[in-house]
Amino acid sequence: MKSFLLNRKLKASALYVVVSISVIAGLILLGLVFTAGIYSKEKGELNIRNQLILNTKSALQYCLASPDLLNNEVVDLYKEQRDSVYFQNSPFGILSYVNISAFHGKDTIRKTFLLGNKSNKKSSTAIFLSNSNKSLGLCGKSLLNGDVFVPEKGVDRLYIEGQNFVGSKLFYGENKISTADLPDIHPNILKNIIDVYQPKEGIPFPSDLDTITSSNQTIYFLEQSDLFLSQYISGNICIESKTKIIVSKEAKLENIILKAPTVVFESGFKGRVQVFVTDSLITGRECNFLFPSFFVLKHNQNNDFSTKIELGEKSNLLGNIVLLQDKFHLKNNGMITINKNCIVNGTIYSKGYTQLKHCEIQGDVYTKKLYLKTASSIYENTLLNVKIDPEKKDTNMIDLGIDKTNRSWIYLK
Amino acid sequence: MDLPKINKIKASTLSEVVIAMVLLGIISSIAIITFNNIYHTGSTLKEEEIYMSVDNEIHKAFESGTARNETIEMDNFSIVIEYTDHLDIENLKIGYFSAYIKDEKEAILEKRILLNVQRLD
Repeated sequence: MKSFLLNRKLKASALYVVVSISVIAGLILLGLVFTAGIYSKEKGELNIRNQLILNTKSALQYCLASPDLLNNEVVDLYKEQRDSVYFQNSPFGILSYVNISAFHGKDTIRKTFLLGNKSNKKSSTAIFLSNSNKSLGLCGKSLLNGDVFVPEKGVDRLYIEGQNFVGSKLFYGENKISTADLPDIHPNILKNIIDVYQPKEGIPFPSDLDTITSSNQTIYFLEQSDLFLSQYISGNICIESKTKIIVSKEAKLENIILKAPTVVFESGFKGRVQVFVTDSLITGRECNFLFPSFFVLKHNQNNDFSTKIELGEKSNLLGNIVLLQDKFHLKNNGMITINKNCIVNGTIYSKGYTQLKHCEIQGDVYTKKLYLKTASSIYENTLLNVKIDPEKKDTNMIDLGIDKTNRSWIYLK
Repeated sequence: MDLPKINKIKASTLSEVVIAMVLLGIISSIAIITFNNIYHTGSTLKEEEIYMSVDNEIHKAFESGTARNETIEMDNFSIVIEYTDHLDIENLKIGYFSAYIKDEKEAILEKRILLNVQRLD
């Protein structure tokens, strides 16, 4: 064989051509192999990314169905040791930001959601008036379309300001005896509200910016003097003034927190905002507070003046109003006033006075005392031309957890 | 009688042909492997259609918040949707979305989701 090969004359040039063509073909194929490898790897990564995105959506569903949000916990979504997500949550006023991280090997997808707590059962309570041994008086076109929790003396027809009660029934629900104290707000929600009032450090508010937004970390702005807001401010932002905040009707506020002794909204304002005050919250006429807005007044017992939340005429609020005070005193109590032609869709919870004037509450009212000041007189525990209808309350309204019912969460953003 | 003149044909040697065939054989094998690799990892238009249809059904489930077991028949394939209860949380369902090509028993695509089915009492 060896001699056979040696004796043959090999044409070197022909072999050279064949080898060259083979090398070129080999390189082309190598390129194809490389491309196929890259394609295969990319497709694998895309599939993993799609699965992680699906897992974050499933994790959100997990949160929405849970009674309480998880914090710093890893959950195996399907109980198969394959798809795990990491939950973190941080309260944002009455709402909560939930950070969900779905991971697989080195790949991680993070999403932040804004959630609100809601009740799984629709409230049938129209009004809860603390037991002060004085009946609830109705006059004019007042309507209570739900259960009434009132003192033993019950509900009476009244004639005031030249108006008699004109309805066919005093209320459309059950009559129950109220207690001297209001039922409590859900402890977790109350804790989140109280936490907002804790002193915090912040950075100066950048008044020169037209737009301020944040989605992940809470940005905390703190000013020692009055603040005038007319910007577009959106997201995970808390603005505090040590004196007063005035909100222009040009301001566009989206899901932010305002905190100050006094907050004033100019007439015609429209936006969604949580407001925490210690002295007063006053809105002008025709303001429109979108879902989920929230007003809180934390009345200081040492005040030598009356604190208040006042919703201007023809204003709408899709949210809750809360007035907190430790004790009810003979004077200097806090007061919630809902003016003429206002519509509130949500819960009014007042440990002080509540003054409802020719307005509609599409939800429920919990109050220590009702108060009504007219041109001629002042009335206690009296409703004049006020409609309270829990049936009209939005089924997804953020809830204060007063009814102690099963709870779940609603996705907001 | 004159014999016809035989033209000399210029040909490669046997060893050249053998080497060329070996090289081409090696390259062809690589080519076949490469082709198979691309063919099997790549997805066809039909598979893409199945992926999109399953994703669409998942999206609908998230939007509606309704857990309903059903089989959706498409042109050449079907999507089977089955829900089971989650072990830990009431009102939470695990949804299984499986796509089957007609006359095949093994699912070509399987996806799972969690679905909150809580409704107001």
